[in-house]
Amino acid sequence: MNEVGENKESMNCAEFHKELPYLIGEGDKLEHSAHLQGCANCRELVADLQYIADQAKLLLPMHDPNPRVWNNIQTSLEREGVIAGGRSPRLGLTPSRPSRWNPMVWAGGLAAALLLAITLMQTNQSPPPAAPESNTAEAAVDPNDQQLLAAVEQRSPALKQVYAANLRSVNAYIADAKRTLEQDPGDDGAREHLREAYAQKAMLYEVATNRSLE
Amino acid sequence: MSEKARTAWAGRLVAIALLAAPVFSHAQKKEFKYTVTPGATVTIVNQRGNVTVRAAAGRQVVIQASPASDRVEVDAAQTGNRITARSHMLQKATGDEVRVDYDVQLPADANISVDSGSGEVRIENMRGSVTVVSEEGQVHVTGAAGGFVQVQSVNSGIALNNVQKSRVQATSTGGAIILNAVAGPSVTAKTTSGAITFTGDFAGGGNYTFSNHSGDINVTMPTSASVDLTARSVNGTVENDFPLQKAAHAAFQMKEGKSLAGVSNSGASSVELKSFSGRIRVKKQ
Repeated sequence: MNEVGENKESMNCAEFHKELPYLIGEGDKLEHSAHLQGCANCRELVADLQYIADQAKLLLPMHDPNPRVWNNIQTSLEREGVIAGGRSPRLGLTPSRPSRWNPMVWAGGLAAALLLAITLMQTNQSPPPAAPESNTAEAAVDPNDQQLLAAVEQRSPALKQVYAANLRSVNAYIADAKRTLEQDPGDDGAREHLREAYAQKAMLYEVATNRSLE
Repeated sequence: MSEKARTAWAGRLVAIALLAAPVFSHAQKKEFKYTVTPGATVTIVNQRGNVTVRAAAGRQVVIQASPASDRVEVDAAQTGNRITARSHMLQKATGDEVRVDYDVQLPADANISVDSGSGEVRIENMRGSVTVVSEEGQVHVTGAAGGFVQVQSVNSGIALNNVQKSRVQATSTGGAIILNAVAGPSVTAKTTSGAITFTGDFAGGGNYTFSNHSGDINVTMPTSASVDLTARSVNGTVENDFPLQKAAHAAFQMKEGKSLAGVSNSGASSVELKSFSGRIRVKKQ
C-alpha cells in the first residue's frame, strides 16, 4: 500500500471516492494516485473538478457586431458595382436558416466575383480586376479579406487567426500563379493553378460566411 | 475532534460540493432516437466538439449529445426522413462552454452531413453520401463505399481510409490530405499549403486529380496499378521511381525534372498530379 492507503491492486472507483477527501489538497499525491492512473472515469472526474475551478474564472463578455461593419460591406459592394444601392443581389445563396450576422449579401457578391474570374479564365481571357487577389504582402490590406476576418472574429474570435493565415496562403497561391501567367500567357499549367487558387479562396469565403453555427 | 479528522471532514465537504457542482454546471447528456427508411438524411451542426458517426444495423438513428455546460443546448428534430441535430448557445458563452460531443449511430444507407467549427470528425462505414465541412479539426472518413464523399476543411487535415467505389472530393486550405486505399470513378484532392499523400492502386478506371500550391504530393502504388499518369510542378520538381511506359504524346510541354507522363499496364485510370511549387514523387509500393 502507498502512503495514502491505496491498495494498488484492488482499489475500485467507490473506494477511490472515499479516499478523495484525503487526497484533495494533497497535490502530487492525487496526481500520482495509482487508481487515478489506471481509471479513465476517475481521471475524467478529477479533470472535471479542475475544469470547474478554471472555467469559473473565464467570464468574458461577447460584443455585439457593430452595425458599421455591415454598412461598410454594403458600401464596398455598391462602389464596386457588385450590387445596386439599396437592395440585396438575388444570387440564390440565402441560407435556409436565419443567420445572426447575415453576411450572405456580401459573401454572395464576392463568391460571384470569384466564380466570374474562374469562368473568364476558362475562356482564355484576362481575369477581371474585381477578384480580391493580392500578393503576400498585400493580403492584410485587402478590404474584402479584412471584412471577412471581421465577420469571423465576431462569430468566433479564436478562428480569426486561422482564417488570416489561410487567406495569406491562398493569396500567395493566386499571386504566384498570376505572376507565372503574366510571364507566359500560354502556360496552361499556371492557368489551371490560378483557377484552383481562386476556387480555394471561394471555398474559404463560403465556409467562413455560410455558417449557421451559433 | 482531531486535526486529521477535521481535515478529512473538510475534504469530504469540499468533495461533495465539487462532485455536486458538475450536475448543475454541466448540462445532462441527451439522447435522441428516430426511425428512418432507406436514404434518410442526418445533419449535425456543431460549433465546438467532436462528432463521431458510425453505421449501425437496423433502421434507427441514435444521436447522443454531451454538452459541456448548461450554456449550450442541443436541438434535434425529424421531418419525414430528414433529421437535424444542432448545438446552439442559450446564453453568452466562450471556449469550451459551447462544446458538445456527438456520438451518432445510423443506418449505413443514410446520408450524413456534418457542419463542424472546431473538433474532430470521424465517420465510419457509411454507404450513403458523406458531407463534412470543418473549420478546425481533423476529419477522418473510413470504410465508405458507393456514395459521394465530400470534405472541406479550412485548417486541418483530412484522412480518407478504405473509401471504395465513391466519388471523392477532399479540399483543405491549410491541412494535409491523406488518402489510403481510396478508389472510385472520380477522386480529387486539393490543398493550398498541405501535402497530399496517396497510397493505393487507383482502381476502377476513374479520374484521379491531386493538386496543391506548395506542399508535396507523394504517390505510392503497386506495379499492378493500371494508370495513365501525368505529373507537373511549375516551380517544384517531379521524381519518379515507378516503371512507366513513356506516353506517346503528352498534352503539355515536357520539362526535365518538372514533368512526367507515362502509362502503366493498360492505363485504365487517369491520374493527374499538379503542384505549383511543391515536390511530386511517384513511388513503387
